[in-house]
Amino acid sequence: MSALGGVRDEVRSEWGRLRACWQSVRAQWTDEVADRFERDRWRRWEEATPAFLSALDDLDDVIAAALRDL
Amino acid sequence: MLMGDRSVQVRSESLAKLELAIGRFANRCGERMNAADNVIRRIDDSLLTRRRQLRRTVERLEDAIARARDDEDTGALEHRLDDAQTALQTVERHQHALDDAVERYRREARNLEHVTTGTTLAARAYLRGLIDDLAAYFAVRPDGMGGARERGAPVADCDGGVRDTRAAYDPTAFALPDGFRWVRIMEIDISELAGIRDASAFAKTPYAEMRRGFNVLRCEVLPRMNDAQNPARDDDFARHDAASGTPYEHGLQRVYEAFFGADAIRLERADDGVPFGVTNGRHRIKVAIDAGWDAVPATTGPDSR
Repeated sequence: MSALGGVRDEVRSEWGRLRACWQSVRAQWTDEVADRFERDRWRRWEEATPAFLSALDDLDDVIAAALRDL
Repeated sequence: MLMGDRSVQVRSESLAKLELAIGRFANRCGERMNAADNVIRRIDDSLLTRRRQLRRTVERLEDAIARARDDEDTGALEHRLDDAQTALQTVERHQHALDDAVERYRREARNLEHVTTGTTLAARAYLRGLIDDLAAYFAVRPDGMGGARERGAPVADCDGGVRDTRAAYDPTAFALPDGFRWVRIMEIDISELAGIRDASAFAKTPYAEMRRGFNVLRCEVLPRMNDAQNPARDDDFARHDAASGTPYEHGLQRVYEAFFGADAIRLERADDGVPFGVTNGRHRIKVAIDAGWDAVPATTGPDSR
């Protein structure tokens, strides 16, 4: 297990749960209010979370390389 | 139940689930970011320590080579010096790579933190408003607490206007008495409130009365407690109630004591990386969430900071 593997796996898994919940809600909630919620609020998570996970992956690689040489 | 009502109830329940899932995600992200910070600190310290050791080794070897007699063979020392310098360069390269990666990580973490605090609160308040609206319109009560007038209708504002309960209310500008602090709802493990699902869970103080208590806290009690000339406390509220002929059960003193007396909200957590558990005041926290409060006044255990 890498140094940040636990952190990354947990955030990824929580994110998966939240997305699944959203998709299930979205399937029943199809009016204009839902469109607005998706556009104004949900999209921020859709942008911020994968970018965070990607930065976490990169950081984990750098830490793994450092640990190999320490 | 009519088909339309059923559909609205299903949607209300889904939105309530989404609201809870968003809160849980925000809590978990906060915890995991703290854990990541600890890992970063540990690696950073290890690299720094290793750099210092290697620098000392390089200096010692350079010194030994410089002090060697002309006829002394320094080949072995020079070989060790080469190795130490190479190792030092490697560690410095890792340190630079770590600094860059940490900078990017922190940027994205701040961004996500902004989303999971600001946007989450706004989104949860928005969803709560939708749930209330659906319940009010169809007289469906998704959690059985109060009717349309109690939960969904606009709340009277302090200046006599109405407040949209979809907008989160941040009370943290008010100073609190010694021993109390504002704790953000996002910092609290709200899964502990799952049992508070219907009006029967509010046996001690009815739900509507607690909602009224929060409004009195906001409009009357906190402003008087923060009066620069004469910050009010328990006795002052008792005198105020007596002067206005208000019985204790409807007065300001009761609200003050509910939040700052012996039965105040108490929260505890083992360390900074985990949400607060609720030792006392689960019902008040539930009402605070429903009323759109971003934070609650609480005492926090000795181990929480």
